[in-house]
Amino acid sequence: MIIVSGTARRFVVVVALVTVVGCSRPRDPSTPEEAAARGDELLRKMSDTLKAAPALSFTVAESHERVRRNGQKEPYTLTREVIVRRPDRLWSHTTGSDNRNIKATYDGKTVTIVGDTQKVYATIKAPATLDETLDLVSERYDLRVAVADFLYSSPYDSFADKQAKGGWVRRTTVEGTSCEEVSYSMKAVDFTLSMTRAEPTLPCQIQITYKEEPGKPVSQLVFSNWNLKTQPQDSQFVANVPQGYELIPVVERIPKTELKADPAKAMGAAASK
Amino acid sequence: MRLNRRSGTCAALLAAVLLTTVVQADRSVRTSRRGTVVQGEERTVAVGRRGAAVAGEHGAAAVGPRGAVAVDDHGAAAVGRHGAVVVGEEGAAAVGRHGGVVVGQHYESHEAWRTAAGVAAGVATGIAIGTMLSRPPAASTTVVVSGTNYMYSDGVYYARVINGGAVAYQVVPAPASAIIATLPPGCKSVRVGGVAYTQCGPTYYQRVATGYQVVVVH
Repeated sequence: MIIVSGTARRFVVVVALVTVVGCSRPRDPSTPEEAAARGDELLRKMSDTLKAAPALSFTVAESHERVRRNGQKEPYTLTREVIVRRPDRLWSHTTGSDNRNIKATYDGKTVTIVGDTQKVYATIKAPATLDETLDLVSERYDLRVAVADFLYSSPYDSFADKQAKGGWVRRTTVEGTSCEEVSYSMKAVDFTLSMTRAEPTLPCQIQITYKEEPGKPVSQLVFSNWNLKTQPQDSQFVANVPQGYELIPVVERIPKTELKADPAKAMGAAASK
Repeated sequence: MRLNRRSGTCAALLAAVLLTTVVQADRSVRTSRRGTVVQGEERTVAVGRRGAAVAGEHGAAAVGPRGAVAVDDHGAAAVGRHGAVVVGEEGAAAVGRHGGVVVGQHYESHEAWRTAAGVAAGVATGIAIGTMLSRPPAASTTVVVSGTNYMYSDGVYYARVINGGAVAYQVVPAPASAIIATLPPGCKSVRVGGVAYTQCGPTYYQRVATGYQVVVVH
């Protein structure tokens, strides 16, 4: 009969746990092919996690750069709270170092933007789904929302690009959370995205370099407070415009291609809004 | 006459407008991959409720319901119902309040615009209609016309718009009926149709009990 001391027993247990945990995770990629495959796997897992949640909420700490033509960069920061209920609801509250205090609500029919600092609001007639609305506000109204990549029904499609080069890079830690980092280079942007090592796979941080913009500005988003079990009520997505706020227009952009193809139609569509 | 005068002003201002602007790149990866509509080949233009727009080889121009459009080698300039419009190679566009369409570049502040345009401090000068500032001039005051709040400073009126996800202050033609306490520098007395006015740049004022009121002179 072998008598094992308490210290030895604890040692054996720890070694066993480390072995089990270590073996349950895939080893780090060691070739470019493995890195590409692992990166794609992580992007799909993260996308599947977000896609599977009927509703979700999170907070983003954002830092961005404005670039003047003389090359001077001016940093500014934003904090954004986001609540999404698929397929047709969104609420966000954005505050920033530039005195920004904007609430945006999408209720399946209308996007309402309320600026509390200036006591103004604006409305945009929106399509029936969040995906279509995200496309509309970013491309037609240039409402810049870097976090939009993670709000689409398939975030994977935001990052998947056959021409992109890159994949898994390393393990890293973001705000105390153990994450895995992937990095890709595309024609217009480079991005480095880290995602949680623990399940469910969620975004930890993304850094985007806009290569085709003058000065190649960089944006960084750090995610926190993920809640995939939130159950927001309809009232969460009802725009609240305080009395006395002034209705102002939203700058709208019409691609020249549309003007060339059918100016009357392009103008008529805008004028009818 | 009015078109030529304003087109000339627009053309002169266009060079300065294009020198510097703010590039703000906080778009999503998806949007960036698709390409932006605010620069490069995809120049853009917008239209108001009663306006219209045209696109030329050198840019795009917008026009109000009673306005006209002129295009030159440097871009296009249009005249809306109450003011002028400037469009550049990387022009942005905004919806005007009175049927006219205004287009312009975006600067952080009035000081940034002055630096870009090479305008010395204290010199009153015409900032192009359509130009957008992230914040209004420090010395601006609020002028209310028909329930709409404008910011006014040094002969220039600013309307608030949502641009790029934030509130911006856009230079607009002087809104009819606006009243200011004192006239900006560089004004002159004129008579049109036997009526006396004070003309400050393209804007005509009439003396009223509380100051000077913007009037539209045809």
